[in-house]
Amino acid sequence: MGLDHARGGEAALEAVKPAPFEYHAPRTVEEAVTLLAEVAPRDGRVLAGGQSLVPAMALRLARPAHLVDINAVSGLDRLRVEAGDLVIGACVRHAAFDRPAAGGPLGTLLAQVARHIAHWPVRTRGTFCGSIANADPASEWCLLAATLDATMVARSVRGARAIAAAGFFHGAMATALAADELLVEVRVPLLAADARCGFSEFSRRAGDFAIAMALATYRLENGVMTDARVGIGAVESAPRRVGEAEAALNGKRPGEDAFRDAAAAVARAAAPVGDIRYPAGYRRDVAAAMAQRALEGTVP
Amino acid sequence: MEFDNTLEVPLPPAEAWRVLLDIRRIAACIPGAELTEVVDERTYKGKVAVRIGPVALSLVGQARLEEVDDAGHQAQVRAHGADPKGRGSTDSVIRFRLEPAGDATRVLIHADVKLAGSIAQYGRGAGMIQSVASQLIAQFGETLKSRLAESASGGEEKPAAGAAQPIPGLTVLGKAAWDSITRGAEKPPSKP
Repeated sequence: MGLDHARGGEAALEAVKPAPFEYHAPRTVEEAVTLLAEVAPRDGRVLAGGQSLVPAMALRLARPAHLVDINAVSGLDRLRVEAGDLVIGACVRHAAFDRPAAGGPLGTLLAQVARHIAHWPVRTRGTFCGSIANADPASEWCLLAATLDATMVARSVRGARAIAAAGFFHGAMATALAADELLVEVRVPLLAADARCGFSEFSRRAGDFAIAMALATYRLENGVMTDARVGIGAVESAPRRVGEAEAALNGKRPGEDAFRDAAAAVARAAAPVGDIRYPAGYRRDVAAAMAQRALEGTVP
Repeated sequence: MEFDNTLEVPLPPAEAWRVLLDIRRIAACIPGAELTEVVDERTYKGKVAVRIGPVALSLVGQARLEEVDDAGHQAQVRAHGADPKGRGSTDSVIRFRLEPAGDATRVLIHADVKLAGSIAQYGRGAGMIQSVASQLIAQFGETLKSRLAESASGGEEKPAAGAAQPIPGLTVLGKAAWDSITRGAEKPPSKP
């Protein structure tokens, strides 16, 4: 590195890492989707924060022929509360959630979750919607969207459509989005003022992709839990709610017994994928432990 | 890595067996697959486009049907594919076994996939490849099912091999694959 820099000048300029591509910088959503309709069939991709796409391009694993950079598209960086939802525009960075972005428990939860996403420099560039569209199995935002039943709004030349989280994540890095669709915003329902929530994630080093993570929320009615949601991420090929664990909580008093039952339900229901480092059985154990810790984190 | 998958075909095993061994027809149902050459009745050349997040791969190679057991309704496919951009290659052995499931057939698939090169390092390993494989198989199953339904409602006695027009509702890739097959129809037909 040092020597290359010392030689500097033209040699350094020639050392371009990605394969050649054509760069487009639309100014409006209409321009962006028109461009996408044209270039998507020829492996044209959306560039938002670029924290997954650009490293893959630098390694020449990804060789998109066209990049549609949406960073200059007006209005996509907006973060607003509308009709009971926190509406997150396509260019809102992870760092926007570092301090509560919404009132009530949702803002606090988002801030707690955001701290687990990679590292600060990545969080200042990477976007919430980019994580959702990329649909990495270990994405914190995908787990949040799946657990809280967020709605994804996609635009294309064919118009706009809203996709519920339950039908959005098809598998590892696979979503309901068509190649020419732009995820313009994600709508996350605000949590009730009395909602309790907890999140827990395990990775060997801070900022690494999680081995397993869990998110839990519920409300209290006459001292017992209601409207319980338990989601797991990084365990299966896509994040999802675990109905069996939710059933183990609803109608029970929050506490060690109910939380242990819910964690056991996660262990039974999960169908973890194993890999060379973490066998499926290990991931299952960690998933159950994360569910229990997320639930323990709900108790003030 | 090894993994298992299943697939339902809405035909009795004997018929499903005949359809599944009609490679030209089957290739048109595999998402992103394109049959480029029929070498002999057991050996086929082609390419498969796979997309894993930002990485769009095209694996070019050859597949060979082996150990075809017509009585036991089982066979295996040995496939080799390499990315023309040098990002890696794969060697796979995929075993199929058919068993009756009511009026239909359950296809039991066991895959042993070996990856080499930089694609092997991408996507944090086996989990992602398994996920992609199960999606491919699910999409394949859906396409095959709708093709069979269309053939049936078309009033043909049995699913006709190589009906020479694209069927509406195909994906762009599926259509491309279909086109390549109908274009390839000048080659001597090879029915196993």
